[in-house]
Amino acid sequence: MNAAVLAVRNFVSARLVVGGAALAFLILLAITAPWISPHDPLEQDFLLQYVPPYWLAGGNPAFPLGTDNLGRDILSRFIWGARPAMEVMVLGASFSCIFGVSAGLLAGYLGGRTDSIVSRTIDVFMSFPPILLAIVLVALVGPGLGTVIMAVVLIGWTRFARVIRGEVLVLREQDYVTAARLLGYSPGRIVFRELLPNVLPIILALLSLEMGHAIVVEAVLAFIGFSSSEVATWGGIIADGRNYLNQAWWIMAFPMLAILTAVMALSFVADGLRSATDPVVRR
Amino acid sequence: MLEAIGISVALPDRSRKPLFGKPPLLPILRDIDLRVAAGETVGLVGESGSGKSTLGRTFLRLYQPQSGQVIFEGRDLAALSERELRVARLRIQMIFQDSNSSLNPRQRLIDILSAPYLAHGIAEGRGANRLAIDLLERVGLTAAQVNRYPRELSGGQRQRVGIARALALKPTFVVADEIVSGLDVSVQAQILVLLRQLRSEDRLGMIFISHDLSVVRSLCDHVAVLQHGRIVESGSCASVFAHPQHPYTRALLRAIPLPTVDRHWLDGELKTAD
Amino acid sequence: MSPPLLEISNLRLEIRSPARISPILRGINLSLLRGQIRGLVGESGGGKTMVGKAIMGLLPANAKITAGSIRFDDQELIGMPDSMHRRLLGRRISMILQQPSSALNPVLRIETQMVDVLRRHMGLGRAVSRRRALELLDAVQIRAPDKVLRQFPHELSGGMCQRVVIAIAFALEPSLIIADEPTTALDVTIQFQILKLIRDLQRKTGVGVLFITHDLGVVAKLCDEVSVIFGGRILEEGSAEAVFASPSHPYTSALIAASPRHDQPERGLHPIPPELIARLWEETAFSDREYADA
Repeated sequence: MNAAVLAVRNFVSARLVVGGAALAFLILLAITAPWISPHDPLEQDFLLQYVPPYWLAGGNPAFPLGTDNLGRDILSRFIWGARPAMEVMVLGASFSCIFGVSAGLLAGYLGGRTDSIVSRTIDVFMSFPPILLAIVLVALVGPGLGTVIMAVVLIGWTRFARVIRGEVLVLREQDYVTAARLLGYSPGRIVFRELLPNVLPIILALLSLEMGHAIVVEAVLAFIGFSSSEVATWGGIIADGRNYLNQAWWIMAFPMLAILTAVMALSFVADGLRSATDPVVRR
Repeated sequence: MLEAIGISVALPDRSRKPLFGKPPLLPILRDIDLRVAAGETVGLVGESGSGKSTLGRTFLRLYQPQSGQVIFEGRDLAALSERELRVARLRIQMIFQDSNSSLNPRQRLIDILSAPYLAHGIAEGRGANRLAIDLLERVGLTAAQVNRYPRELSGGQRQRVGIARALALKPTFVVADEIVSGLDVSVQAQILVLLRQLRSEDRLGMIFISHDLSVVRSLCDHVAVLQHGRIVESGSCASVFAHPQHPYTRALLRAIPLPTVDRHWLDGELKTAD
Repeated sequence: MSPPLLEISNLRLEIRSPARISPILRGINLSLLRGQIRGLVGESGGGKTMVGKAIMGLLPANAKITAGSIRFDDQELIGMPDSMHRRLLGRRISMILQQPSSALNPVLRIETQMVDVLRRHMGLGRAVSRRRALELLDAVQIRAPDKVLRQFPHELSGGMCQRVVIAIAFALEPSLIIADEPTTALDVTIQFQILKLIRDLQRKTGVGVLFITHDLGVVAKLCDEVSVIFGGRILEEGSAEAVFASPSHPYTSALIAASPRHDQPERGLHPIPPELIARLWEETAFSDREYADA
């Protein structure tokens, strides 16, 4: 069997495919929102309040998922809500990753003072209740998507830092690292060329999981009103819908489903990536 | 000339670390004197716990001795600045025992072997690759294997790469730490033949660490026997093997099963100390 | 003449993976008589470990025996129901492996493990088992058996652990012991003592031993009979004297020549000629094709 085909076969697993597909779908939604959204998410029509989803009695095919208390189309808000979710997910998790991995690499490889400082900082950040951190941040900077991203980064970087630090502590004792030192490679080269490729699989898995966390953080912050209020966000929709649970359960239901799907998809992707890059080679 | 004078090394004993503070130091090597002249090969023999690996790494300044000096090219390694040490280090290299971690599993052979040239600005891009291929061919591998990963190679092939890596920057001394242990006997012989050839081509001084006296005999001019962190016997291979003085050396020689049938070899005891 | 203790005939085994099927054993023939020590010697990849595992029924999930038979004391082991096989293992066939840690449970004291084995297989009471355990530790030359019984495996050195493993192996008075590289991980002076111990115990109890190793020297000093394995086939077999003094297969002579000897420095280094290895693999491939066509 062709080596390339085998490599792809070994890489791809059911989890990766399902998770990846779901994720791709959500990202596609976010990107194509302006074109595929049937209505303007902000357009209000008081004559069309609380319209149920089209498959229930009283439903209207023009509003497939129903409308909310202000007559806004849920489907459109849902689709547009994917945008901030994906934005926070990608930007928040990426910056979290960059920041956390750098800290972990430095602390793990340099050891000594640097390690002590970074580790204590991690301890401090980890002991802060995340929501409290977010609230403090909003108080300082004001609400909005940017703040949410900042909150995600501040909450999430410690996860990366801790894990990567632990990995590097082990890896730096390997013979090939000793060889690199003896060959006079600069610490920068050792960290980026020798160590980083070996922690990449873990970083990818952590990144996927962190993206899931980011979505949840965004939803929670939107729920408590700290996110952007002009744009439709899933958390915001859930918050709005909370008050109308009895009359219009569908307002809360669909964004919740979206969040659930996104987080599960990311979890699958993380799992699939982890087993795909596992050093145990299946021959 | 590479020389150790009065070297004593103690390493932290993590298993007895107290709750607060540093772990106590466990003495590994005591009062070691060892000299390797240019172009000469000294075998360092001992069983597990003898400290032979620690001694090899101390020569490379990977461990700091509690007392004593390592003199290289007439200068005490401890007295060198960071930069001077880095430069001096390039002339003493190490070949490691074959394991999953002797070569970076995520790098192809071309990456592993071109890195020394790239890192020191000796060559770039194509030039570095060319040098890497030359290195590879020098140790008996082919240019076709240049894009392979270490896991695709056999133990013997990996060791050849390890040797190539150590020789990339043209060192004058090499410490070989159990480099043929764990290899099949046939592969072992091939590696030793290669080493002999490279050694004479480059006029390398070598410290050859091994637990196998037969292998040491086939490669070394001099031998030092280590027991519990002390050198109990040393001298030229010819004299030590022909007339071992210390009971431990005699026990080591006696204990090696040679491929000749002898129904009475296992009779009698083995005395390893005075 | 009584039948051999162990008789392997035409054993064929392959490893199956999604990508391909690899033959590992290609028609192994091997027999071990009672009271004999037979060395199975070969280099890595030769298949010797698989032979041991096949006898013990410890093959990995992807390994399949495709032909041949393994008869122990005139009972066919292949196809034997697992429960029967397990009863044989431990009671009549014992094993000594390379890493004592794989045989000893790291979280149980030595006493617990030994007593457990004795009680389970021989139905002895606790006090009787403990006394027997002390006797066994004494028989393997452990000087403070009382103390050792109370210790955990990680508190013992490699050599001591291996002695305990040997004690357990002999505990149930087996007829056959499979030793797979039992001294490879040990220092050479400890190896000497362990080999001596195995030989002395074997002489005392008359147990049959299949000693699997890559070390020709060990085979020469310990074994009565030798089988040389390469590419899943036995290339040569005979008494140790005959095989070492005048090997009939070029692979055997090449292997002997490649082993360095500290008592013959003038001999130089003799790696096995690559042409010989190439030829042997050709012959292996040829025999594969013949078998496939048949």
